[in-house]
Amino acid sequence: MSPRAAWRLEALGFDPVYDYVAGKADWLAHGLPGEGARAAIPRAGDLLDTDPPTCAFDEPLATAASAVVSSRYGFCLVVNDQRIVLGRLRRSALEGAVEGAVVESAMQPGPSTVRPDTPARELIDRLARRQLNTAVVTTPEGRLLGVFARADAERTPPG
Amino acid sequence: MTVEVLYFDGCPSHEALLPRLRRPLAEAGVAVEIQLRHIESADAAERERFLGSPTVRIGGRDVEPAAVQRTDYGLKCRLYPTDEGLRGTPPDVWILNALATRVEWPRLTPRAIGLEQLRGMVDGGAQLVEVLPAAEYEEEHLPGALSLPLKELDGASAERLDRSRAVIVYCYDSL
Repeated sequence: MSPRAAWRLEALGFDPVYDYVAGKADWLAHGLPGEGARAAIPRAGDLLDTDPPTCAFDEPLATAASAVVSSRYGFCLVVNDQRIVLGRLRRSALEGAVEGAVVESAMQPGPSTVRPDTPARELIDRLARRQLNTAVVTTPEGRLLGVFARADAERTPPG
Repeated sequence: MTVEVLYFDGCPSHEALLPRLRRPLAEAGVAVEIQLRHIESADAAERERFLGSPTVRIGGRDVEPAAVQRTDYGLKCRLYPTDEGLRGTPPDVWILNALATRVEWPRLTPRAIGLEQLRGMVDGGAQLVEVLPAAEYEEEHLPGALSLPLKELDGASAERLDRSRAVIVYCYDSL
């Protein structure tokens, strides 16, 4: 739709005209604010722990272990230099780890993620149905924004 | 854009060159007439900065990347270094590169931008326009955006826009 609008405006003499191809969905999925009737609805991005434990892909498992053990979630998120989520290292994966192993060898690759514009109430219900406690929230490009904890969100009931 | 072939009578290489020049232009759909320019004298060679026959200029520039540094003008056959040794015509790759940088290709799509460009342009004064139906705009839209639904977009409705500022349109997503 927007490409046709861009051409139409050009034909009407406007110059320059640009097309934000990824559109409103992309804007909101980056956790950026909107305006309008739905803008006041609490979103996952409003209720995030923005500083969850993280570890590096090539980090020795032994050094990452302390972050995992002390994590309130029971895991650390494996990210690269751009904070792109590559995996999740769970506490259970530390057991029986080979000496000298790195995080990559024990992590769960490609954990499921959600976008920050997901309505908080909808995400709470979805996690409850699946008996999950947390959701990893990223931008569409996979950049870590934080962890949405169901218990925290339920203590701060979204509208 | 102009495509010129400069030559003098003492060197026949330009005749072999012309079909090779026309082919990439035709394949690119570029309707350009090749201008043949006869260099008649040593004075004309100096005046025209003629490095030898044939000389090919696209958009006024010699297709040989190093030509700008040369001053050995004169009535002579020009030899070009190629992978196969010296040849009487410029390598195809020089012609194609010159075409690629000089041709103003027709745009097939609107000017597409991403999120970071959008933010920078809005900071610089560009106006945002949502082209979805008004009900969707009322639900949620980008901060400061105007509603101009595609189905209602015409000269009258577009007058709400400021013609002196760039316009950025968007809908829901790329699908």
